Amino acid sequence: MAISRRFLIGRIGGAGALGAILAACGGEAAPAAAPTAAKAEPTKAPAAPAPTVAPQPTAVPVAPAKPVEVTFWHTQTGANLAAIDAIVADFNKSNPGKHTVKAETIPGSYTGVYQKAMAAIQAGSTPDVAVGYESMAVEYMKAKAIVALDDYALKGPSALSAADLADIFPIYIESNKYPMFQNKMLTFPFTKSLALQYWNEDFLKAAGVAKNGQKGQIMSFDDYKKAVTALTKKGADGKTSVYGAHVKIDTSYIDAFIFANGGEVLDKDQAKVTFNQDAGVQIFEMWATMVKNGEAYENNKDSAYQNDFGQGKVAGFHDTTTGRPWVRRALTNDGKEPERHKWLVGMIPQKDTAKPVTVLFGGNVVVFDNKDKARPAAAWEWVKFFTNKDNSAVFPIKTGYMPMRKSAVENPEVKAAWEKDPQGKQAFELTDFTRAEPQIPAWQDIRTILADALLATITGKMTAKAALDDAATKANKLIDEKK
Amino acid sequence: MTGAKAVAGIARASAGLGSRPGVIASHAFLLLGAVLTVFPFYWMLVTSLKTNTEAMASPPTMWPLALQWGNYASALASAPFGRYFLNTLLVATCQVTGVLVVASLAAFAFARLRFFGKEVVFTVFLATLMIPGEVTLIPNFVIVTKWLGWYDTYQAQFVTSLASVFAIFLLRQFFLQIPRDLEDAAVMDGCGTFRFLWAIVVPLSRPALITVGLLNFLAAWNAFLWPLLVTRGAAMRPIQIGLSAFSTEAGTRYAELMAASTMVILPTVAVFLVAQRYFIEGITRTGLKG
Repeated sequence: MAISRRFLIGRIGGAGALGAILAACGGEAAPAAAPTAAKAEPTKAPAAPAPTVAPQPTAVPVAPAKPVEVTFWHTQTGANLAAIDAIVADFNKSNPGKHTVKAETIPGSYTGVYQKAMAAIQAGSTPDVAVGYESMAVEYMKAKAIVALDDYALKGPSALSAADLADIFPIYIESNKYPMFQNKMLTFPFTKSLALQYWNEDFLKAAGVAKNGQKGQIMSFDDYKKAVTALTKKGADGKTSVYGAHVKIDTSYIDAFIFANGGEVLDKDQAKVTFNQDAGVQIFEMWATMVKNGEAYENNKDSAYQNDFGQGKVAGFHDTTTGRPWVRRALTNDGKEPERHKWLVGMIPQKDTAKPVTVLFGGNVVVFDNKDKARPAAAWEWVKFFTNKDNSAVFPIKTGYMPMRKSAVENPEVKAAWEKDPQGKQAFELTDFTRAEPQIPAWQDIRTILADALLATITGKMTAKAALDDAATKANKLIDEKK
Repeated sequence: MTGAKAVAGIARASAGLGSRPGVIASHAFLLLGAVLTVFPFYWMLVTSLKTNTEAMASPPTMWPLALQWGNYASALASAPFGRYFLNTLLVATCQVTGVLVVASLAAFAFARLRFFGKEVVFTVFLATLMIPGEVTLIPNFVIVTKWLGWYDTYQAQFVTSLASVFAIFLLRQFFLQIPRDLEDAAVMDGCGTFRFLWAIVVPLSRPALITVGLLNFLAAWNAFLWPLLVTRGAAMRPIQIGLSAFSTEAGTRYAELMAASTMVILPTVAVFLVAQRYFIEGITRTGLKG
């Protein structure tokens, strides 16, 4: 077939332009692929931040009129997947709206879900529910691809009851509201965990360390520094055989320690970072000094420090509560031996031990704005079912995540699980002392900058102040760019 | 050669090596290269037989303290690897076949046919090699899932790989080396263009075709992100996605991951061992190097 030059140039140019437009990823969310039902009135944004108790049902967003197959993207595999599938099966059998859930695993990381969701937004084939971090929810919202959950969770026929809201720890509601979007609730908690301190209990006793971070025994920073020094063991040659602490190169823990030291990482307007002020500098200097003195080290790759803890090479480390099963494996050689030593989890050290604070993090779910309004409504039914009193108690004990409701403590299955996992209960009891990390769009990139600054500090390449100032300059530039 | 002669030959060779330091040095260098190549496979195998704790131990152990054969059963139970294996085999076969057909025809046109703007079109083709895959990810996703409606199908996993510019380039270079006299003789005997391609060019280009096939088989076998985007679940997904079942936010089960990797890698090693002679020949004769 003869092909004219004009035809060829036209095709190539057209394809290039199309590719450029589609690759830009910044367009409006495409229409949903799902068939549309009767068109509903657009939902109005609430005029004020959502109340902390459930109001009387007011304007109904849209009641799902027909059964909907809710697609749900998550990352869980193995035993965690089995736990999710069991809840999916329960929902498919029992929900009054006759909706069904079709769960899809995107194994590995939340980034995979994000990449797939961003492509799906362009193709108009988004799922109904997907897991993600706050920064991802912000990007979805900027693409106008998700709904605010206020209209489903706090209003309407399927809103959470006053009893539900009283049962859920307030942080789990508050941390899912986004100041940059008029305080709307864009996400709902899904797989949450706390940044806490793990200790070798035997070592604490042997070193005569009185406090362990649990309620009533919160360590001050001075207590912590003394404990780390006391727990460190060195040989005759001066080489460390047991470290008192491990430094995790991860911004969530930097945030947690700065908050615990009375500092902030962002100013009130969320326009500039403040992690380079005294509270942050003191934390970096503390870790750098510990490393320099041979009392702390870093062995972050693949969370290898958990294995070191199991082998008695480090007395304590800060980590996510989700690490408990991995620590237990390290302590028991994959369950083939009894635990090598006793251990516990407690609060990280604090400036004000009467008002301790740490970070709550982990995955949330978003509900996509599939234009058929029956779909988000049905999707919320699934989210509500997944996080009801029973499921929100049992799913965490099967997976290592933290229960989001206070009533979990009364659940017989949870009680039985905590008999074997007392550290789970120890962590749960500290839930009230958590707060969220920043949700601004630039924070995902700032995380890397801040973590690099810590590494530069503990390796002696830069002073704490210089590293943090340098990181602050870069971070503020990013905030300005991503406003 | 009898045993005695062989021993004598080895002795002579050894004596010769001893007198030539350069040869010894080159053999030592080659041995080092061989060790560096084999070591990752050795490490994968021994890690697959350790506990997860031992797999992460520091300093590492070179041989498992106790062989954990149960890791293989545990790995197989962690995900439907049989299904993943079949899916991957099917997709890889389709991709290899499709690329060979498309690339052969395109390469033949660029190498042997005369048409207006041939060099310009070929240059445009080559220019596309400079476009990173990430840039085309979303446009491809939209085309395959929205326009073609192929979400969660086998064809979605390989269709975007069928027009491989690298394969076209490699085959074109090979086809250019086929003497014009052969074509003239074939034409004089009444051979048409397509028959010349099928009966003469393809058989003569076996090393290059096997190289293209092998590279695409490996690419299909190792594909992760694209299949992840265009599939929904285990029924359609390839084996690399299955391997990610061992990694979670909180950590990775290295022992089971290495056990699964050992099983997964066997077909690719087998294919490479069978085809390596053609692979090397194909690369050297087209003037390409890694």
